[in-house]
Amino acid sequence: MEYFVQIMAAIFSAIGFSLLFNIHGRKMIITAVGGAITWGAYLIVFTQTDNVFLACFIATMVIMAFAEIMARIAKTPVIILLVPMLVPMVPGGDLYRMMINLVMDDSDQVRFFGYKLVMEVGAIAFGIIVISTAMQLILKMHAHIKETRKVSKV
Amino acid sequence: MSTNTDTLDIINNASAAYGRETLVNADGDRMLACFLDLGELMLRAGAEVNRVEDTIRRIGHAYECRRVEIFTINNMISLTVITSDEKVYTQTRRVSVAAVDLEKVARANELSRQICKNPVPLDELRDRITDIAENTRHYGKRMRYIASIVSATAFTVFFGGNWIEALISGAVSIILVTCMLFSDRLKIRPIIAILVSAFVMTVCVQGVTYFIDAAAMDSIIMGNIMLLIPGLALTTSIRDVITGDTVAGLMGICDALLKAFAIAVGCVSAMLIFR
Repeated sequence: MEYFVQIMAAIFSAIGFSLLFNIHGRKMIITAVGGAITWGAYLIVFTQTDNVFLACFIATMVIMAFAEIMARIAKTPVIILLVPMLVPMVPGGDLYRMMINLVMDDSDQVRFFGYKLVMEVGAIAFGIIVISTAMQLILKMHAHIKETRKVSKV
Repeated sequence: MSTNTDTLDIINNASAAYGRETLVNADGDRMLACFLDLGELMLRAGAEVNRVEDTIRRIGHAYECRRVEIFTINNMISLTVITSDEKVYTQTRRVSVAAVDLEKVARANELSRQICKNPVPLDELRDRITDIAENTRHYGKRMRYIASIVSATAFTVFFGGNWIEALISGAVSIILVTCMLFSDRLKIRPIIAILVSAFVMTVCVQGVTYFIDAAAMDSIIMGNIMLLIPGLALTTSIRDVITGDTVAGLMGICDALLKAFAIAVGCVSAMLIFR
């Protein structure tokens, strides 16, 4: 039940952010679905492995792949779909917990949440890098194969 | 986008005032101004640096430029083209920050696809770029409020807040957006706007939760912080670094980190006051 509420909240936050970034119509529906997929993937990996880095990393990879595919179907830049869908992953909660512990003067907690924050941001960056690189490789190879076929036909 | 039309007008007047020889040159400059308008539009609306460079390069080749040398960072575009008749034109454009508007990026992308398939006359290109700049559909201010309320409420629930906290979060986000819109109007630098907004938001939350026992401030502040965090800047910058625009990417990442730091400073200082 708790997970269901979280996924619903992720959907609404994705919709809210696509409104803020001026995204319309069909693309907004895609981002709403994407928000659910992001957090669903995170929850699945997190409950199975109990590892925050892995959960962030895999969820980012999943959503990145989804964005790349949907962008080609909807014929729109990847970044438009990606940003609102990634919003539930952004570690605002841990930023806050780090700050409140800073105020409370609890240095152990500050270190713990600061470390977690860096790890989460790193995992998101890492996920984006992996899928973007893979996508570029695939596109380059596709172009290369096309080129060589053309040459061999001639 | 008044500055762009100004630039074009100056160039137009120059081409009208001088003889035919300069008219030819002015045509090249007009073309460059058009390209830069499109680039500026995309960069301001939140496109990645790589996308801007790629779009202008493609359009340049579609207009039969022999070489298109473009260098873009987050707030500047420098463009040199060598046309098919071996003439060299250069223009540089300083780009200021503006509101994120991904619909504009999508439309600019669509335009560049069409242009690359069949190039239209320069005047028509210019009209279509102005059309994107001015007539892209917007949600308006009321919708921005609604969007913020929806996001803040959803995030408060997301971080485990109860329904009273969710309601307060929605109400506080109205104040937050008012702060942001007001600082937009005053043309305050974004980083200071974020700092001040975070401060005001935290003060409000602490004031409200002081009187309402059923609500704790944690999830309310988290929900509203999410509205301020520069998620777009971080994502585009990481993509920029991968695609080889290291300088632009690092600038963007640095900017995003500073903004996160500004949020922290704003919230923490408000918390310290009320401690």
